Amino acid sequence: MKTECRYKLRLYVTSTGARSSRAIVNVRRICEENLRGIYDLDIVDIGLHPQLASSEQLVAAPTLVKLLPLPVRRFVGDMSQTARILSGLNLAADPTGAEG
Amino acid sequence: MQAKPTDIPHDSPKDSAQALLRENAELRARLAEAEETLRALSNGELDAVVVGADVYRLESASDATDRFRRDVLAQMEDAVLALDVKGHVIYLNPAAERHLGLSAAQVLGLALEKVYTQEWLSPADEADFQAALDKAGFWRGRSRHIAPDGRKRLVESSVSRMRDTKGAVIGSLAVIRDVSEQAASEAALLESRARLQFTLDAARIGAWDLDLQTGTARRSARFDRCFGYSEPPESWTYQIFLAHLHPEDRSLIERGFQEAIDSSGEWHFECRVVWSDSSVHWIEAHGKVFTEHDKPRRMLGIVFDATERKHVQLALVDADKRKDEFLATLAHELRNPLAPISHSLQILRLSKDKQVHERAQSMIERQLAQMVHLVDDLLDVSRISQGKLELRREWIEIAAVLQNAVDTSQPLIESRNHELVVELPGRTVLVDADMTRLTQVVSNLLNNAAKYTPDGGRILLCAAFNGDSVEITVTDSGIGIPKAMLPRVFDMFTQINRRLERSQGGLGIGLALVKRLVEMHGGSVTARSEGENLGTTLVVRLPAIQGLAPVTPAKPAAVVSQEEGSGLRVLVVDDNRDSADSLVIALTLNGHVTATAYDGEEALSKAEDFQPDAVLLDIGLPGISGYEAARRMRAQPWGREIVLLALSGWGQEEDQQRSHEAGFDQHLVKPVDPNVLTDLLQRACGGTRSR
Repeated sequence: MKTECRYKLRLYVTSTGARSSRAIVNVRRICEENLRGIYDLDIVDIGLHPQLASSEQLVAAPTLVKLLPLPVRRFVGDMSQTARILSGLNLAADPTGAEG
Repeated sequence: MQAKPTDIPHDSPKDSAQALLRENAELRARLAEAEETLRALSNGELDAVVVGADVYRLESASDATDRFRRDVLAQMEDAVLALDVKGHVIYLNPAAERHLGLSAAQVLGLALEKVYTQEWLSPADEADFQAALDKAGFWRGRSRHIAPDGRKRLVESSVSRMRDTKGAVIGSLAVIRDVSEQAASEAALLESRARLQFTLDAARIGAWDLDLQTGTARRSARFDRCFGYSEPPESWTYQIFLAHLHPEDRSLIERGFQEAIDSSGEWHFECRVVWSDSSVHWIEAHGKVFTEHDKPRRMLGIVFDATERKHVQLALVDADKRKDEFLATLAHELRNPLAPISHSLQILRLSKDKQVHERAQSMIERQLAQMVHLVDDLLDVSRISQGKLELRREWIEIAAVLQNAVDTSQPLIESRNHELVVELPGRTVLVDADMTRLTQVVSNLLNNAAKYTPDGGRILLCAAFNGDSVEITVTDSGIGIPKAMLPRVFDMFTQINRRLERSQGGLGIGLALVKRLVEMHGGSVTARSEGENLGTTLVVRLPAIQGLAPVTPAKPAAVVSQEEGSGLRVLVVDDNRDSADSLVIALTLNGHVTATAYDGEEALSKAEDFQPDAVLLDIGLPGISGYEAARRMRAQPWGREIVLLALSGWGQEEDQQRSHEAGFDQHLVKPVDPNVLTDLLQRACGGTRSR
């Protein structure tokens, strides 16, 4: 586990969306359970900031972006696929999302 | 699924191998992302899709509605928090961030209890909260929020269940307002209200609130008591209030009320109110108009019972007035003897006649004695008031007291031509008393009777034994005392009719002194009168020791005087015989022919017979006053040309004016220097004769 580096995460949502709400709760749960004390989570409403959506090359909301540690990784959906996200964050031994 | 490689770097072989590996991994990740996006889309995990600069919502709510909702929430002063079914925070507005002191990024997704702990104000509240949410889906109430740092806040919140379109519960929405400050000011308000109530109660102040539209008023119990009600009357209006006012005060109060309303100002007054038992009470009230849209709507005020204060105030004003009158009378009384004394001194200088000298001397002695008596009375009154007067008591015979008193008062009684009858009980009566003081008491009563009885009246002095007490009664046929004045005749400085009194003299302390001296002897004194001009009876009751033998009554005396010379013919009119006589002597010595009269009637008849060039007329005469005498003289054929000079102890502007109106040529203030008078007469009469 790479604990020296803080995780910098950004979650793009639409504030009134049901999946966005779910995504918020799920991401927070994952972070609190696995990254407690070493993460910064930004939650950005793309309804309020549509220009961010295009500059960050988003295609959908909700989207979670791992800005740090590099490499940048994006996850799309309501973040209920915990195992997939954990592996994307380099937190799980078996990266199910990486198979061809 | 195909990934499209972009730029392939041409680096060193080692580096390029590393780069290729990295790129490979990156491509795989991108591929995974794309797969993920499609999966999420097909699983319905997305709310919006971004194409270029546009965000496409996948739900029915339009972007505009959404923005509107967001703006409203952002603008709200109240904190708004949305929770999912499990109590995680899924939304908070800027006010909520301020309320919590945490940013949305810190709070979103957290379980609510990690953000703050809710503390119920009473145990029942929590049950109410659950029941209300389950039953109505809504709860509103107060509770305390405890932040993670321990800070407590009193909040008022409303919590409602959120449901999706199918009616399933998807969470809850809380709107929270910090009411700590409000609660503090509410508490302060309650305290200040309690303090006001305490103040009103302690000061016995009633409160009222008058609706200016309807005229009806709400009042406190204390208000009702000011109007004589121990139980609150059913209704109260401005009209009912007016009906309780003393009729004499009503119009003034109504005017003040109208002015206050017209100016939207304040209303201050004190007035009399009449209770249902017809008793009259004083109130003091203050009110203030309150407006609504610039129109007077209500008047708020207070009222309290001012009866006691008012009575004290009125008594004080009355005492002050009596004191002023007393001082004026005192000055007058002290000056009165000065005229005869000054005249007598003139006589002593001008005349060589031994007999004339003796008369002048005895006049001075009499006038001095009167002044001394006056000053003694004053001193006695003040000594008694200060408790410094001591009685030298011994067993004395009441007959001796009466005899001494008669001896003392004889000159005054004789000068007024009164008839004095003394009746004693047929046995010896002893009293334990101070001879000097008791003599003073009886003598004062006799002097009083002599003064307030027109010349030639009757005075009865009577002592009667009554088992264990003796009653000394002085009855006269004089001017009497009006019923209303009876209780006050023993008060200090009381005289019944100030104007009338001027001719009688006296300070109004004689009877006050009598009362105090009698009370020091353990007795009492009362006054009776059937009314004006029906005489007065004063009764002194003293504790007696034994009975006594009869005493012989005293006899009356009389004085007459008239002299003639040459020069002007002058008629002198004054009821103070010494004053008149001394002036006549002085004028005679100055070469005038004189005549004397001692009252108004006599003046008129003497004037007609004597045909004077000039008349010196005292104003304060018994019977016809000097003013009236002057008017009547002027009405006669012989009286049009004569010189009329007013002589008075009073020299105010007003007195001068009245003399002028009555037809006097000049108003002189006593004492008048005979030389000045002679000059004046010469000039005045010369003027009259040359006409």
